[in-house]
Amino acid sequence: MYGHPISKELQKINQGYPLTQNASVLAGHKIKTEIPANKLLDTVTLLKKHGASLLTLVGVDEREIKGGFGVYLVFSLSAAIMEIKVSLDPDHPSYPSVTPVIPAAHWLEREIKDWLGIVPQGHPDLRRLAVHPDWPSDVFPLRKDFPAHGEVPRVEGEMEFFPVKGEGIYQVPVGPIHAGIIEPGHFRFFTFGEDVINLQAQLFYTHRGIEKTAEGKHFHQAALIAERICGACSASHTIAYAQAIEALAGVVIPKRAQYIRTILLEMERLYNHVGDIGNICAGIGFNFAISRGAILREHLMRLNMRLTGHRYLRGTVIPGGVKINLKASSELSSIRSELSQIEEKLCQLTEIMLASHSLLDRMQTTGILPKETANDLGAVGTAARASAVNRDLRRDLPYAAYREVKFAVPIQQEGDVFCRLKQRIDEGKQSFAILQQAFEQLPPGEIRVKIPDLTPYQTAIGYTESARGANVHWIMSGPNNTLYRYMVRSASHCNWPVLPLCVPGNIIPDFPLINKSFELCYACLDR
Amino acid sequence: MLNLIKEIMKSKIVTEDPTTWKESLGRGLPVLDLNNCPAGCSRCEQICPTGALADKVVDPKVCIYCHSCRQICPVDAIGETDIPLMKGSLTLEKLGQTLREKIKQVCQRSLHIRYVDAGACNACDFEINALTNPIYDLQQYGVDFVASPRHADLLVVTGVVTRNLEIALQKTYAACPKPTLVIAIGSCACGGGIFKDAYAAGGGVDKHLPVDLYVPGCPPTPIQIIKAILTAINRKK
Ligand code: SF4
Repeated sequence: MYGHPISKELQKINQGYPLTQNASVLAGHKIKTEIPANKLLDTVTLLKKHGASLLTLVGVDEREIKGGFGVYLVFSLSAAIMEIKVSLDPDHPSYPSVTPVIPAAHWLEREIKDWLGIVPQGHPDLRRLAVHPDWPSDVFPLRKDFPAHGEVPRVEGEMEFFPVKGEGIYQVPVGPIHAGIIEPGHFRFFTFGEDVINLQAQLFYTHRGIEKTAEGKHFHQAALIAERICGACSASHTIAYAQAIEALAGVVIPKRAQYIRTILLEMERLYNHVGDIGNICAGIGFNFAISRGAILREHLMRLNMRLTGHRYLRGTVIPGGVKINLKASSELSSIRSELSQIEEKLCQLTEIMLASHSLLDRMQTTGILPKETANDLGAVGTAARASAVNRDLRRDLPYAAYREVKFAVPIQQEGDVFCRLKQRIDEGKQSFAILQQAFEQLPPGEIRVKIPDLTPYQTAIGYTESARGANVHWIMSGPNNTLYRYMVRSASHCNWPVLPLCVPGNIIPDFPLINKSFELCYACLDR
Repeated sequence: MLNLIKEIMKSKIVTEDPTTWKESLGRGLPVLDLNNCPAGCSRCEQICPTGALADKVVDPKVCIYCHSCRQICPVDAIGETDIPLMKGSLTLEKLGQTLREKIKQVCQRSLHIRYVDAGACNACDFEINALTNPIYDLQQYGVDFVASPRHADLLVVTGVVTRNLEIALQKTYAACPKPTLVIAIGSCACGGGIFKDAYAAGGGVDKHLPVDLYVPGCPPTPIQIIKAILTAINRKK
């Protein structure tokens, strides 16, 4: 049996527990182990030393199957995915918080306190995050004794913002309903004159209870739920979900399906990036680019419709493969040539944008995300790469057909709004190239395999690099091919905590611009 | 700068005439061909994730247009038709008339819309956003989105109405001058969609507000939404 270099050191820590290693369906090694809670900090410190980054952290109510609660931490490290479990007391579940070692865990740990009542001890900020002030303090919807269709009564409560005090400091509350056509969230600006001193947010307005809804559902039915977590990341969420199910079942999907998934993922990235390139300009009132961007995005949406029958690519992916075949046809070749035309038009548009002094003036040095902050807080996707964090799951832990297409992962250095715009422009070019390669190399064959019965109470993850960054889906199977626990960590979940740090020092009118340059999704975060 | 001006000069009109729309509307409403449907088979009803399909009929307000039913049908007995707009009322005709009168009363030629996301996945929101792009150019019909509910004749709502947005939605509705038209856009807003029974989701807009028009779809396309709005103000295209 092959061993990852980290296994020996891990075995010193997890004495008494087995360390399982096997080849993962997705990429490289998959290492799983359980450790006692009092060894958790040593372990994560070791992992951090080896350059591991946290993919997700999940709490599970396992009282009826294992007699307690479980917390699962999943890390990615060179060519491996590692899952560490700690088992917790059924009556007073708590464990030492890993946030002091790995700051990227801080929202995840606050969430498991909110949803499951598991207390991460030593966490620097245990205010509520996901449940609103009017939630009763003893209702934990992700516990198994809370019914999926349960009602949550309302209680009195106030939003808890850290006070920011001083002469001349004003609070500006904004939202949850905003003036434009955007998703809901509440922002609290603390300002001195026009300058923002501090920004805090109350999110989770669109919380629908997706994870709980998926529990107990057959995995094919839950795929429809995964598809509806977010509109603009439908394909990447569904593919991440499907990969987790395939990992549970130990199946490898046919080559053709892998290529088709790659095409779907890149089509999704493109319409998002192109839309965002135009839309960022709405933050500075550069109308030419707004409308040109919107036209190109609409063309891409229509290509999605012609390619798959759905503008948001829904209904195209299932666990085990894909539902659409993309057979060679004159329609397909015309779609490909239209893609090239869009590429050309996008190029013309961005050339004009990048030559506009007023655009550069507003965007450069605005809303800077420093590299260290991006790294420490675990920022992902375009936002991280615009701050020189060289991370991209498509290259680092390849899935679908990404091993077989050539592409570069561009990065920028400064981490300002302009870099995030430029990042999208550069990535868009790569997407066009990936698409043409994938169409060109599309192998013949089946597009779907059957998923055998799932062994209950096994865990697996699936992930994709969406337009916004890493979407990680963690699943524990239940009896009769159902899901026992489903946890979705979206790219926006990673990047939301980062945004408020980029605003202080900027003026309020720049907030919409900074916000648009991150293009965070509320539905993905709130679930 | 010069290139910018050149490009602007080169711009052509891209706005489409609605009578020429040939775009596909995507997945339609499943309809069972009862002549072909084998007796005793209920696979479609069992696979339907929302319970929209019961007694061999699909409820357009509850359906999420996933077409799982069509895919599982062993004899291909499920076809599709255009997704209907649904008026919120008892007898369709009578309601259609009151709706028209209400509209005449509310808005003469132009219509101001306030949009509220009450817990959508953002697909409906992006499609509503697309209405203002140069291709659809909703403003050409005298229809526009406004920032404040105080200026709105029509409330467009997307999403299931989550527990955390219920109050915000009600406050927005209360802030609109009356009478206010309400359109529910998308499967979630129309009937709660796939989340209708979840602990944090409120089962659709009509559990909370009186709805005048339902526009089902997951999401409905911009063309469907424009048609719905024009129907609502009785200027059908
Ligand atoms: S929800 Fe899906 S399965 Fe149910 S009737 Fe609609 S299309 Fe068919």
